[in-house]
Amino acid sequence: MMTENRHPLVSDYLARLRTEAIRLDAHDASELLADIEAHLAEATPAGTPEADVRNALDRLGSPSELVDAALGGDQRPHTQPPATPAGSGWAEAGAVLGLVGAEVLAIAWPLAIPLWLLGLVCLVVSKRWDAGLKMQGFFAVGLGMPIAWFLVVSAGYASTVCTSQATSGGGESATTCTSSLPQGSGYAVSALIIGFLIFQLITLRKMARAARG
Amino acid sequence: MTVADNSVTQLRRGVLEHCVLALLAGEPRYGYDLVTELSEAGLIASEGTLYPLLSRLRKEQLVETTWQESSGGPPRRYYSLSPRGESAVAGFRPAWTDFKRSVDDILERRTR
Repeated sequence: MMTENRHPLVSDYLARLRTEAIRLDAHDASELLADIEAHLAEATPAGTPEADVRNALDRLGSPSELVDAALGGDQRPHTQPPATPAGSGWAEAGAVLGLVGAEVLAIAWPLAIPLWLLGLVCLVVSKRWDAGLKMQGFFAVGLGMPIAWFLVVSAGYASTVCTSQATSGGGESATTCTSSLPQGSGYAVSALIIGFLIFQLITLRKMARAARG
Repeated sequence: MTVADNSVTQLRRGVLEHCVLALLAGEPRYGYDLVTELSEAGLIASEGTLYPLLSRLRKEQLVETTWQESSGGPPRRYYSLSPRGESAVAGFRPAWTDFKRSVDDILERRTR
C-alpha cells in the first residue's frame, strides 16, 4: 500500500467512497475500492500537481455516482427490505394461537390436542420463519402443551400424603401430612417453569417480529 | 439535458458494454488504460463508473481478470476476453452494422 505517497485529496476521496460503499455488499464494495485505488494510483502518481489531481478526481465521478453505477446492475440495493413478506400470515397466526391455546387449555385434552396439532402444522408450513426459528418455536412453544399437561398431571400425583393414626385407646386420630416429593423441590420446579415461560416469551416475540416482515 | 444529450446517453448505455468487449478483442488491457481510451472517445461520462461495468462483465463471465505487478508502479488489474466474451463481440459486430445502417437510412430519408 503506497498510502504515504497518496495525495490528501485522494485519501479524502477514497474515505468518502468507502462510506458510500456501505450501500453495497462487502464483496462488491471491496472490489470497487481496490479498482478505484489502483486507478488513482496510476492517475495521480507521487508529485502530481494539485490541479491535475483535482481534474483526475473530477473525471472519476463522485463516490455516490460510482456506487449508484455499482448498484445499477442489481435490481435492488441490499439495504432495502423485501417488497412483500411471503404468504399471507395465516400460518404464523395459526401456529401461535394453536400452540399457545393448547398450552393454556392443556388439561382439556379433547380441545388441547387438536389445537396443538393445528399449531404444529402451521409452524411447519410457515413461509416467514426460517428453519432455525421454527426449531426454536417448536421447543419453546410447541412443547408448551405437553409440559403443561405433564405438570398438571404430576401435581395431582405429587400431592401430600396424609395419614391418620389412631392413638391407642380409641382417642382422637392424629393426622400427619408429608409430601411425597423431596424437600425444596417445589422451588426448583417453580424456577424451571419461570425460566421456560421466559424462554417462551422471548421466542414468541422473535416469531412475531419475523412474521411481520 | 437537451433531447439530443438524452438520446446520446441512451445510445451510450446500450453500446458501451460491447465497445469494452471489442477493445479487449486484441489483447489483455488494464483498467486505467481502458478507462482513459473510452473517456477520450467520449463514451463515458465519469471514468469511475466503468469499474462497476467491468465487474459486471466479470460476473457474467464475459471477461477474466488477473492482477499483475507493474515495474515501479502499483499492481494492475488486467482484463481479457473469455470465450463467451469473444462470441459476444462476434455477434455484436454484424448486429451493430445492421442497426447503424437502418438508423442511417431513416435519418437520410427524413432529411431528403
